[in-house]
Amino acid sequence: MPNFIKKTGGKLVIPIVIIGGLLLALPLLGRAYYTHIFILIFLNIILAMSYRLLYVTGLVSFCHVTFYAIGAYTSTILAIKLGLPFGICFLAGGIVAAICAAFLILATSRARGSYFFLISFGFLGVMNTVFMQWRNLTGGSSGITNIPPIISGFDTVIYNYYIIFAFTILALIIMYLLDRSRFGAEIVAIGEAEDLASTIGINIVRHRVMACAIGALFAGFAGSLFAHYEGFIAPTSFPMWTTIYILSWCVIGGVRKYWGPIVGAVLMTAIIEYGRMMGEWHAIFYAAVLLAVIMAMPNGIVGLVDSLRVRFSKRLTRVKKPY
Amino acid sequence: MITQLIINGLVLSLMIALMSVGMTLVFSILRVVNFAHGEFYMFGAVIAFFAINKAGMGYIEASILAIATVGLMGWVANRLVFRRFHGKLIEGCIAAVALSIGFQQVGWIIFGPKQKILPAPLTGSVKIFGASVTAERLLLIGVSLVVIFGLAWLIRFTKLGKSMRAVQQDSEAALTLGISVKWVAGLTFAIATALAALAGTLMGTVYNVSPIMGMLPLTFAFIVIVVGGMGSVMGALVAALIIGFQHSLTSTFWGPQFALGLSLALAILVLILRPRGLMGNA
Amino acid sequence: MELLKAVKITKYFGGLEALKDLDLSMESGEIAGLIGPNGAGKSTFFNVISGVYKPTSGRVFFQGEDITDMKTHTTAEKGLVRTFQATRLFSDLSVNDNIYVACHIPSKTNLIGDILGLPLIKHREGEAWQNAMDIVKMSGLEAVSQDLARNLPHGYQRVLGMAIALAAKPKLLCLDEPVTGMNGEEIRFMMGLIEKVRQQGISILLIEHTMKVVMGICDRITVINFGRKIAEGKPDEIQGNEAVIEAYLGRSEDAP
Repeated sequence: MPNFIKKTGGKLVIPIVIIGGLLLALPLLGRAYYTHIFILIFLNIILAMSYRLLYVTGLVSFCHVTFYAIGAYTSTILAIKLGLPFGICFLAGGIVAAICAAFLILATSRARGSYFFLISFGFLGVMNTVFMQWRNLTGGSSGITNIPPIISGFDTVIYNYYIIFAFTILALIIMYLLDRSRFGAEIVAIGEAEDLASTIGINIVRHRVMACAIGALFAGFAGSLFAHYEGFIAPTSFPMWTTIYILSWCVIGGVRKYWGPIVGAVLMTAIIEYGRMMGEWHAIFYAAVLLAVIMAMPNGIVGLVDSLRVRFSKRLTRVKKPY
Repeated sequence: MITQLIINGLVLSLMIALMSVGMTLVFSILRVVNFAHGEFYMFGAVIAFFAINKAGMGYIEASILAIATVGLMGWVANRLVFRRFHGKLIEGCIAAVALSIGFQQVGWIIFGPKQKILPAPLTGSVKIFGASVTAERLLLIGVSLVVIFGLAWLIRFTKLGKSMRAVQQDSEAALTLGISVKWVAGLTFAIATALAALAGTLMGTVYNVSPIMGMLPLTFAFIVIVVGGMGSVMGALVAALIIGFQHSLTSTFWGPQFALGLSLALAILVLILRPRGLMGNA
Repeated sequence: MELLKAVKITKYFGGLEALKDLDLSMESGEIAGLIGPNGAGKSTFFNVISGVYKPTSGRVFFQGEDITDMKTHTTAEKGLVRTFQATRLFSDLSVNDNIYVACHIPSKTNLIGDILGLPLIKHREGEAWQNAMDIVKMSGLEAVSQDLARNLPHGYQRVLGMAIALAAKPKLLCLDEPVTGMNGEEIRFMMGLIEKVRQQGISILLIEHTMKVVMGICDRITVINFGRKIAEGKPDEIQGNEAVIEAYLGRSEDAP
């Protein structure tokens, strides 16, 4: 059996249940502030995991936050201008973002890989300009207010927490299945050795289009949830820094294992929030942590865990010759 | 009117040129995209500001001090951080981003949010072709041109320049020729950051100094090295002219936000149609 | 009908002539050799026929079909699979995972099926996987199937490279210096493996420097130098060929 298709041991079930239980109980225990923070963490987790899909194929994109924004704006505009129900706006947000992503990859398939992040950076800037200038549609720099909630009548932080929590679990399950499928293995292979992947018949561009589109789909969904939760969006809700943060979560958490970006997102979001208490110094604190991690653990936390496990495991096999 | 536009375009182009030449050199020789380049620009202006206001220096001495200090900072940054990422693009970028965040915050803390301006050594204005050109702008144009030509001369004719070009083409071969790649890398970084600081001290007389002043020049520098071609100094200069004038013209009529969007769209177009840039060789 | 027919292949890189008017054809069931001094253009030729490079002029036909302009993954689907001179593996994946990924073509699922992992797909996956396991066994990699590719010793890595290509179910397997860096035992093993592959009906085009291997298993050999063909024929014909000897050794005063 392929290694990554083997079932994970039953020993993971108990920790997951415990964490799940804690997360379910959280809004009832803590202050509303913490509930809000965790909503942001859930959204960040989705952003980080959806970013990973394209990242493992070797393309570093700088515009993931733009897909998030496209989802948010699309969903909002449909809800307010056309009065469509949330479900449709939500789906539209994801689909429009996915279509943009597909076009981006197709248009750039001729440019070399290391230039892709520049193109995506350009895309981010251009879309930002669009959001700022197209006042009739997007409200310009003042943004859009009075966005209808996800489920009307159920608009408190606590209800939104559970809705977003449920979506996050769903998204994680889908991405897990994806990761364990042939497609999931093949996109990792593309990132490992692109020319070899071609040689065995993998259509690199098509896989990248799918990976980016699915990633953007989820980012768009998350954006829609964000918009209808916050009730207000503006270009300043989607700063360039967010896309850099998303990249840093994947790098810090590591992308070789499925759960790496989750660790990165949770850890770094927590650090940012903790850092706020340090007042002026919080950004420096974040920068210092980021720098330290990238210098000491280039494979991310996942890579570190893996290499520790290898070092201590008895499976340092001695290679037996077959002949 | 036209003269005014030309002067503005020239000022912007030259400032962008100073920023992007440094960035493209660093990329072509060290294979690192220095996201923190804008912050070196900012430190140039900030250090000059403090030298003038707190230590009572004149503008010229303050600028020289600022440029030298930032150049040294660049050397140290390369030695401590960037050297281990030579060739590893993603990790180097993230490290640069981390530095950028940290530096900006340091700027906030020591400089404060209020925008201030640097006093230029010359004052008054001159009338050229019917437009009134301030001394600060003239100073900027003059000094930038001198420095850029000086740099071109350095790259073309001096031993250092030749070493830089050798490392740019093939760092291993350069090693076998006895060129100390480490020194070349460090010096290149120092020169690049010094150029950024120079741009900062010059622009600080024309526009305001603030902790976030480096972000826009960084964006411009990116656009320029993309359009001009990564690693090509000539390409960077040409592209800087194009982008600088484009931005100046467009923002006069349609606002700066639109102008920026246009520049970015242009950059994307270049990357799609001609990925190497106008004169790229990387 | 010839399996592979390359007609007047010419490739320039800027001003540099890498291949010039190179003709090469192969029949089904053959093991053909492509030899020549270093830098003669052998790997370049592989790159051209597999779609990595487009030739400056000339056409490539595979089973009668013009594949000159096709991309690598398409030529692979048609049945032309190549290996690499420098070991190319999915280094951070295990041997099992390497082979699993390499079964892309035989699993023949469409993209949506891949993603959703539908039950019908799983059945076809099972077949493809069984084939893969046979390849692993045949290649002698069973003992190391769990190990990461980058931790394997060199000889195993070369074998894995070939196993990956085999998993793609090629009709023509193009091997680029398969035994480089191997010792005598490993070379014998590799030659046996190549023979087993031929018995399965797969044709082989082989680039190699180790003359023992080339002369030992090839039915026909093409010799190139400076991008041009200088000789072609059966192994014993090539061994005595003066032009070939000159190409390898340079002009010598005394005749061999």
